Amino acid sequence: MKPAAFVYERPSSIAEAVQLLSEADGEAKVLAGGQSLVPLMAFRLVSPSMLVDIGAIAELGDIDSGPDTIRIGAGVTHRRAELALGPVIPLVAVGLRELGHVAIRNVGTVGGSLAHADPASEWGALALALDASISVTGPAGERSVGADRFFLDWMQPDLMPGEIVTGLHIPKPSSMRWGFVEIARRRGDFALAGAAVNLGVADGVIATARVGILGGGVTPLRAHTLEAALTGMDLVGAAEVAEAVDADVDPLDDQHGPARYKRRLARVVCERAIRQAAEAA
Amino acid sequence: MKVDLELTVNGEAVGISADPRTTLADLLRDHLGLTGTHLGCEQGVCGSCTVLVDGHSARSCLMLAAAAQGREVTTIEGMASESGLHPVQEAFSRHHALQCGFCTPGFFATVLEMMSEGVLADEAIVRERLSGNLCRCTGYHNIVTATLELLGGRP
Amino acid sequence: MTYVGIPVPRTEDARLISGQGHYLADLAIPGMLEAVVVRSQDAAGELRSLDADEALSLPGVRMVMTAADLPESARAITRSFYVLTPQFVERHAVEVGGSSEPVLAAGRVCRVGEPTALIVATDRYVAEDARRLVLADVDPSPAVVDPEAALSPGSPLVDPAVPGNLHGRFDVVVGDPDRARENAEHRVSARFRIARSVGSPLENRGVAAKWVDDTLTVWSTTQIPHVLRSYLAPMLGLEEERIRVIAPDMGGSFGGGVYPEEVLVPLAAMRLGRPVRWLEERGEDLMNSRHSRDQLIDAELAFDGNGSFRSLSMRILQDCGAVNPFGITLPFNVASHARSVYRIDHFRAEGLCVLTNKTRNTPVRGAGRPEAAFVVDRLVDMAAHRLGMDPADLRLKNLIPADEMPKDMGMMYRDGNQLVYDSGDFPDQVRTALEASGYQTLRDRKPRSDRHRIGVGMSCHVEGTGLGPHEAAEVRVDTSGKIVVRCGSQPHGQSHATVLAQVCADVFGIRPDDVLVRTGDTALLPFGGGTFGSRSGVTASAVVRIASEQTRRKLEELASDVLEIAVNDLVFEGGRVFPRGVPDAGLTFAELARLAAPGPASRRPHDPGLASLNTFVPPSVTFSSGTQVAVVEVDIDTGMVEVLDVVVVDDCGTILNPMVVDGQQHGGVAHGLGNILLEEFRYDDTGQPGSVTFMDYLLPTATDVPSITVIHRSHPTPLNPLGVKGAGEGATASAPAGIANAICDALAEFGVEVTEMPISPARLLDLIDQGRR
Repeated sequence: MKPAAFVYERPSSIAEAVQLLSEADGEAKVLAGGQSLVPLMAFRLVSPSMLVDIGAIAELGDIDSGPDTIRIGAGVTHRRAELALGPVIPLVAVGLRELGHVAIRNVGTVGGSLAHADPASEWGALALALDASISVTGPAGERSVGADRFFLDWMQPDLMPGEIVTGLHIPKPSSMRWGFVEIARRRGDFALAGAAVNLGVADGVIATARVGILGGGVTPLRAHTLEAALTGMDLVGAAEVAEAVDADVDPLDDQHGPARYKRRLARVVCERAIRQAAEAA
Repeated sequence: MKVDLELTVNGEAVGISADPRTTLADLLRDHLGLTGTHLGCEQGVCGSCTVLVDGHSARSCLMLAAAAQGREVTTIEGMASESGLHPVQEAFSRHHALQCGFCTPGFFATVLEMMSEGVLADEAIVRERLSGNLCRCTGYHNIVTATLELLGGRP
Repeated sequence: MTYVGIPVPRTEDARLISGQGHYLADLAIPGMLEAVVVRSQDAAGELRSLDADEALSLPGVRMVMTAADLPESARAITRSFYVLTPQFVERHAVEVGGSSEPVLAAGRVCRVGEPTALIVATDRYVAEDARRLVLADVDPSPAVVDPEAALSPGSPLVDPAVPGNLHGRFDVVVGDPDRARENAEHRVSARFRIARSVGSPLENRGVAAKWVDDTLTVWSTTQIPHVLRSYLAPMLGLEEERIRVIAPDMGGSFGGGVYPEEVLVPLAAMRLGRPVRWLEERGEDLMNSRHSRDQLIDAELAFDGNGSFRSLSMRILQDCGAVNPFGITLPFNVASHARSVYRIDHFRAEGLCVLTNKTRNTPVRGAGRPEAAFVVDRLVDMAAHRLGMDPADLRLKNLIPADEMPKDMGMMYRDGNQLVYDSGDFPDQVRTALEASGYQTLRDRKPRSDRHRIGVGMSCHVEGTGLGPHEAAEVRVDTSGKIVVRCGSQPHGQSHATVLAQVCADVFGIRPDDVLVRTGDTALLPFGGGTFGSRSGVTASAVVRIASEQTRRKLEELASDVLEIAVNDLVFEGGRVFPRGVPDAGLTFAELARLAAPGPASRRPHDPGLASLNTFVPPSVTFSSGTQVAVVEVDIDTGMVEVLDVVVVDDCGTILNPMVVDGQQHGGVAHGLGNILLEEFRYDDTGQPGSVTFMDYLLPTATDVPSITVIHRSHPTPLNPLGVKGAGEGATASAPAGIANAICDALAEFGVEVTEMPISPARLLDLIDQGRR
């Protein structure tokens, strides 16, 4: 369980990191917190020739709260984000509490999690539910990708060779009703199903609905059908339409549960997350 | 090609050069002789290798030694002081919260962090926080009891 | 004061809580090389060749050992872990073949994970680099995975020497089960599937060896150092005297045997003349070590309308994996514990040991008893539902009463002795559990939502503990005056140093602190048994007691001689011996030890020193027993189960140290809980393993296991000097059945009957759905 040999670089700026990656012709990997990458390397499922450790890039470690947006640097740990965002966007804090265990959250980073693009990623579902965008820097400069378009396929984010995730931008919700429910075999395990629900409500009626699903397919995904069903409904009783999520998910079989079971759970987590949103005073 | 590292381990400055693929756990165990940190799975699940990095719990099997550059690492060997055992060590022994002792160092790191954060002495919260550390011997019962006591709850 | 029976704090802890334990991975021998094992990726096939050239050319690689490099005597482990008497074989129609497990695969591979080569290199990182460079040329053949299909004509053979893949069988008949069954008014039956689980201690296995001055020292995470030495001697062509096996601190174990790496690593060390160590990885441990359970049991309970049990019959299909050094041990354990605490006069159990292309099966914590309790206690609950009775009442009606103890169960135990429940009061135990758990009011507990259901379940077990053949100990008075205990049974978490010191201290009238316990090293004693089968509390305490008494007698004789006082007038107190009423006139143990030291002035010239080496040979097993009540809450939308409460009532006879015994109960419950709710080692239908990480093989965490209440109702056994019965495994036996019964109780409205272990949430939701229709 020891990684294969690699060349180790620890740049101090994003530009330097991008340059190292570009020069390393695709054989290099970015090391953020390493909580997903290091085990993959220990299993030798991944054996990069070079690791570019972005842990010393100070600018990636900032959390900036602007008037309309909160920007979380890619190098911010889950735990820091959980504690910092709790008072501002409690949905994030509650969702992140389901991400592994504290010892993982202390080291794992926002950017690492987004770039890993696991279908059971809490960050993925949260970013989708919050209409967040992801900033990416590469040889061609910086660009911003909406969370909707960032998760392309199984473990495949919208990152070109040489590009790194630099931050996550979350619009500050003026008022929102929210819910987050996740089901896993054990506390801290990868989700069998989870839902992050963000509802804009006016006079008891759902005006806008965004639902991010984890464990529902090959990527974290948005439940467009469910969102449409929710829009215009009375908040009270809205959980009844949760089964609309059926059309949005296409879960994978694995040994913790067959796809049809996860499909059932997707319905349950949506129903319960919507109810949470409705019940939160 | 080796990397030169400077970090603090149990309060002492350490300067060492290591193969970049060396994990923090192997640096502690094989290079510094601190074998109290145990490896149970080397994929970050069992929690036996948990140590404190800058006061926060971390899996030393999932952290490259190189990434611990400049950090302050605390292991089980750094817990006791000249005045004696740390209260965590005493409470675990008093409550028979260890049998084989293999997972114990990892639990210590987790509990130390809980104490420094002032986690509420609530059984459900404590169990949740301990759930990242596996133990096959104790059924967790006495570990939970010891931890609740350390957090100021019922003994 | 006496120390047996009180919660003496553990002497082990000081080291372990300071990071000063010495586990195998902590061993540092100058010049030590590191080994990794290359393993088969195929479940079955012809191993045509292994190409190690590229691996050997890697800088730092010192050796690649394959089957061709093994001496003839070390090619396979051919001893079996059982000795059956001719009477036993005849009585229970036993047929069982021999066992031969290749140390390295030669010619063919028979399971994924089978060792094919050993690589030795200067460090672990390089050894792992080399592992990827060893190429095996295997011509795969169809794997035998399903044990039922394995028995069908035309199935491929796992081992060409085992026709029909049937390696062993037995048939136990007690009374007239056929007639009793015919005459009974009701029957309930089911097919029970008990999945393969893995012992999974937190420390993986490991072996280190050095060969210096023609003497081999082997460090191994073994439960049986003396047995391992006896295996190694003929295989390595060495006298036992030239082999020293050390079991260092171990991070748990829960089951074992002798493994190929325990032969390979010493061979490598001897060949290279350098110390060599192999440390198992977690994936290897899950794939190769301590697999257990894996039974398919068809069982039927027949009973009358008034609830009286008439007969129990079962057919046990044991999936042994590719080799079977334990013979009929596991299915026979099911048979010999299946009637549990119940009076069932007519009984039949047929056992079949089937080979498949999987890792070999091994006794792990419980070893047949969890399976037995699961089957019989599920059947009892099904019978209660049939009759509309409360399951607790049906149990109470059928318990063996205390005044029938000792109870001859009409069959033999596998040690060849008649199976007799030697002691216990089952009705009291069950009533205590009902009372302590508040059984009558538990169902009134309100679930957390209308999507949840609460249920209560109960289970019982018996366990034959303290199996022979023997245990050994030497007790000696050190010249310091402290007493030294050397014992052949050693711990992997069980607190030997504390508990054996308590036993010894009481004999000498001293404090446990004045006893030094040494274990885990064949150099300490010429023989030893080991730690398995809930035996150390029974056999090690017994032999330490006996050896302590013998040594005390020598002290008495010497003191009597020196002080010129009759033995009966001597008092032992505080490490001194003195005439009754004259405490100042005595001698310290240290003074006596010096008087007995060899030399011209020795007071014991013909028996110098003050020591006694003894063995204890138990007459047979002694039966501990227990009852559990579990409360669960089931989410009917997700099938997720939360265990809210477990109450354990345990009878392990004399309690040596209640703190330690309670710890064993807590851990036992957690292990059983894992077995029924989480743990399953899977193979796909080509024999590829699917649970080789801790993300896939799920151990219970602190949020899965509830607070556990332990109550003792002790009935000491007459079968050993202290009246001790084993305590290490019982809670594991009862827990799965109790939790399963609680789940069924919670889901009674859906008619759910749990017959598989583990029951996954997905499967439970299926069963709930079936009931909804």
